[in-house]
Amino acid sequence: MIFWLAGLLESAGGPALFRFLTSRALFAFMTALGVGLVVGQPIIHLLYRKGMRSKERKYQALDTGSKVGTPVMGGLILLVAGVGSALLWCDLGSLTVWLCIAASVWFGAVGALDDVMKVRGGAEKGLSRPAKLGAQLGFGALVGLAVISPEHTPFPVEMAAEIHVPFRQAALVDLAAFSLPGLPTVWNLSWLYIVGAAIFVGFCTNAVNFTDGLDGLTTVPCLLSFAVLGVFAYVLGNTVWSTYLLYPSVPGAGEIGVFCAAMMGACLAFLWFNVYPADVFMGDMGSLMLGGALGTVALLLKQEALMFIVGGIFLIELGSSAIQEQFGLKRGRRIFAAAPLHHLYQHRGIAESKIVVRMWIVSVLFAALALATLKIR
Amino acid sequence: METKNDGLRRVLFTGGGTGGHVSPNLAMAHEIARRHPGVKFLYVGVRGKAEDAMLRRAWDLEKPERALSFVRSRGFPGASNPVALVRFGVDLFGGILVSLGLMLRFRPQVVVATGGFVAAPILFAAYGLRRVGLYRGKIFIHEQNAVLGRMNQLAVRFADSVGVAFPETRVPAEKKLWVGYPVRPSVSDPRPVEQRRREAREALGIAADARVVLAFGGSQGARTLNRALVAALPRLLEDPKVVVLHGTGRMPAGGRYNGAADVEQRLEKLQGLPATLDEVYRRQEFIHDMGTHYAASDLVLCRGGAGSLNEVCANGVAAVVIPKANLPGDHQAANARSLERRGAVKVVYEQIRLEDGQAQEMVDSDRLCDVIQPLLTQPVARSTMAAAAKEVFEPRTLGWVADMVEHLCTGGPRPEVPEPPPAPDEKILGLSSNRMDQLLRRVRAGAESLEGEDRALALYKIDGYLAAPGYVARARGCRMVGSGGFTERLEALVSYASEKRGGEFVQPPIVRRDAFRGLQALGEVNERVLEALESGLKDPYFETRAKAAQAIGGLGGEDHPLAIDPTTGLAQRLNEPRLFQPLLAPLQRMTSDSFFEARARAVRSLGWIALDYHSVAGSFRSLAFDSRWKVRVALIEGLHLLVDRGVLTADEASAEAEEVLRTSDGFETRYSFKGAYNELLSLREAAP
Repeated sequence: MIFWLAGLLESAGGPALFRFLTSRALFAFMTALGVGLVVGQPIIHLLYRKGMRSKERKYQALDTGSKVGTPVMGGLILLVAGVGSALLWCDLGSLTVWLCIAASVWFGAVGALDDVMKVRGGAEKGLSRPAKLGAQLGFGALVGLAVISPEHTPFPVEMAAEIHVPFRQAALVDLAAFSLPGLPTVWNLSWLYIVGAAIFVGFCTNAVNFTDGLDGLTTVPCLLSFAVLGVFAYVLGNTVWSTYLLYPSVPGAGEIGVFCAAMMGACLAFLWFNVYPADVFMGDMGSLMLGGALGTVALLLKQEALMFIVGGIFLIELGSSAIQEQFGLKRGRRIFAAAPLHHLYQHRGIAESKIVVRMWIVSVLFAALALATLKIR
Repeated sequence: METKNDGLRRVLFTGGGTGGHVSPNLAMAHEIARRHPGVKFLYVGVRGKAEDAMLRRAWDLEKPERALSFVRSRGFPGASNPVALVRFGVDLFGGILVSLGLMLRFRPQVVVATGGFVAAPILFAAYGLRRVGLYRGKIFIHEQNAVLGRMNQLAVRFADSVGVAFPETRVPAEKKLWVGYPVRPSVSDPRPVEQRRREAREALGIAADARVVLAFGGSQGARTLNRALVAALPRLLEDPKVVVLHGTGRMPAGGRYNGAADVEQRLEKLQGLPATLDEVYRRQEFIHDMGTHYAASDLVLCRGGAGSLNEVCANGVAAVVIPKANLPGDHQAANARSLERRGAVKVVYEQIRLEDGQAQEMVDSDRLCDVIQPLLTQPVARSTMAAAAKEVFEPRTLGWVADMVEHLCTGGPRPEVPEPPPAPDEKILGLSSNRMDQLLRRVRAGAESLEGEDRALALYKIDGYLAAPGYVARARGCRMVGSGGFTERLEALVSYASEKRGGEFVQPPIVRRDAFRGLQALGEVNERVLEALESGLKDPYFETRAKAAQAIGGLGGEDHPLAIDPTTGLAQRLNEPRLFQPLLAPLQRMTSDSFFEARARAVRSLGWIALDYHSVAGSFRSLAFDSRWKVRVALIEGLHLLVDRGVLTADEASAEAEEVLRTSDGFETRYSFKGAYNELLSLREAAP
């Protein structure tokens, strides 16, 4: 909105400050942080008053040794701060920005519904697995469709159906170049991109969801992921940098950087309240929203594979859980004494705050590795 | 003939699959036809099922007022087999299409359904037609068992009224109508028992002073009942006055169990049968004249189907019931329990054993004899049961059902059914496995008690878990054996923990793990348990090793505090640590296990069973700088135990502990605010 106001202001001879990506990204970050810090406490009190309190493990009023009763659905803070700031500072004329915002709102809503159902009916009464998965895959497919459709794609049309991976300059594969034998080239394999996009968004949301289990454990890796994706967005959108780093230039990608900056600010503000011992949990509302937004951003930058590096923590957490489930419990044994990974460390008796900070350190490492792929290719 | 209301013209009956769903329909139809001579009946069933044969015998299908139609349907196969699921869907869909036609052509005023998958097409068709306004009639369902069948669970939602035979059946109150079980009039003779008995015995050629046992397992026969009875014959027939009448069952086309042949085969192998066997043990495939047989008998041995039980009650005979296990909702056990609590029957549960991965039910013949024999020799006990049974039987059932059908169709007066007898509390049935585990723990802790019949029922349920196909249920069964203190199943736990076949463990790892948890809670030690523990310490699965090590500590002392020996007056352990000396070496080896929990459990358990420190000092010292603090804590606790047990002096132990890496890990969180709040709350509880 401010972008639009600034345009009016500038045509009237005002300063051009609010038009630059870098300055808008910084302002978006600060706005989200400020808004989050201000609205945090009232939202927490509201959630508590409305009975949105964690019921995990025990059902008594309060317990001196457990986190029962901590307000959940703190994702609301993230949503208000992040999306609010993005609405203020992004160029709202761009479809990609709206897709990112839609992802946050959609996944926030799905998660909120799940949280409310769980609080009302107990941990088993949340949204069913198929319903959750349907909401995730459906949105992912929508983003995939936007990416490959010639009218809406944020990319140059010839690279719309390409798949890019880190450490490699050229596209790994262009789905549009293949078609099923005997069919005209119009019927190429681009539609596979939609399937892939759906699965990818499903993976991101679930991975973040699984990671969300200890105070602050999800917040910082998400913040770092947004930071790295934001840098990529800036580089891809900037002709000079993208030429220098041998990336295909994606005009308009910079707006996603502003969105990422807003989400970073929101994460940091949320961490203020969520750090051990937490005043509030993000709940499924927060984790689905962050995961969904990250997945959407990565798709809109064609940096899907990068998510597996920068979100290494998420990958490990989801992976350990899946291995336990699929290769262990289905066969009558466990592979790890506990899963996902953070529960394994808890089982070993490592203090929660220690596990969390160590996971942060590892996620900084992953973020650095992801940034390194900018140059190493 | 009385005709209260001539508005009743067309009634559709459905339900079947087994005779138990068909005969109540026949009884109800009989009563309705008696009141309304011109009424037309249509029975909808599945070809070749029980209703097919029973209807042809009971109804004169030549008459235009009686018709039998068939639809396709099959029981829900479960979601795991896609092929069966598709077949189920196709059949059900076809059945519903045919049913729609039948409904539209016959236009019944009321659909009476007794449950079973056979009823599904008609019920869904009736519901669908009613939704679109093409059917204006009513739907009445009757549930014969104490637990709703699967079909009836669905049908309850759209039925207008639900008649139940047992007061405890869970149905919404506004639809529930406790009417009792519609018993065939041919088997509920209202004349005095003595007279009927005399006549029946004359007819069957049995001495008037004989003690007659009537045993049957339904038309197809019941394997466990047949086998247990035959095995019990030598003991039962020691008494020359005993006469056993046995309906062995007839193998249906395509059936797997031939009752008559099985009985003959087993009889040949038996020793010690009287010479007059055929005189005192009269067996036939199928008992046609059940009324006379009931009347002649002193004691009935039967399954827990609602039909058999209600016929027993209608005839006022004492009965011993063997409920069939592994049925949906365990409804036979629920039925039998309901009557047992009212003193009408005695229940002998099937034991379920896992043989070669297959659940096999059996009843121990001695156990059966122990129940039957006292009843045969004590007429007073028998007549008390018979009287209680007679009390349960409700002679007005058929009248009420017919009134209800009239009420639904023609708006006649709603039958005035009295309040059902209060449903007695049931401790075990209907509990989820989780809840049952919790209950058993409370029992163990002395907060609740579980005696006699409840305990037998709990054991029966646990047997069911132990033989379940899914490992999760088996593991839970193992834990429940322990938490309930069922020493009867010690052998089962031992074999679940360590049995191997062909070099491979029979049970999956988590079951072995939980078998050790069960063994620890059970607290018994014998040679077999020690062998199992030794195997557990070498188990390839890490959690099992840890639990086995923990169990040694539990059995070696942790769960067995000092007890005072009544003869010597000296304190001693129930499970003497000396018993465990063969395990000392494997336990010491385990202190270098790769899994930290196994190391921790091992060193702590060493504290419970080591007789001198010298022999285990190496193991203790090797863990002093273990990377996991939990292992080091267990080491300290082990030292503590050695001091407690007088193996080490406090000085020596402290000196040992001095060498252990002490870190700040393992602090406990305590939220002060919540603590203060809880203290305030506790005032409320303390207040008078």
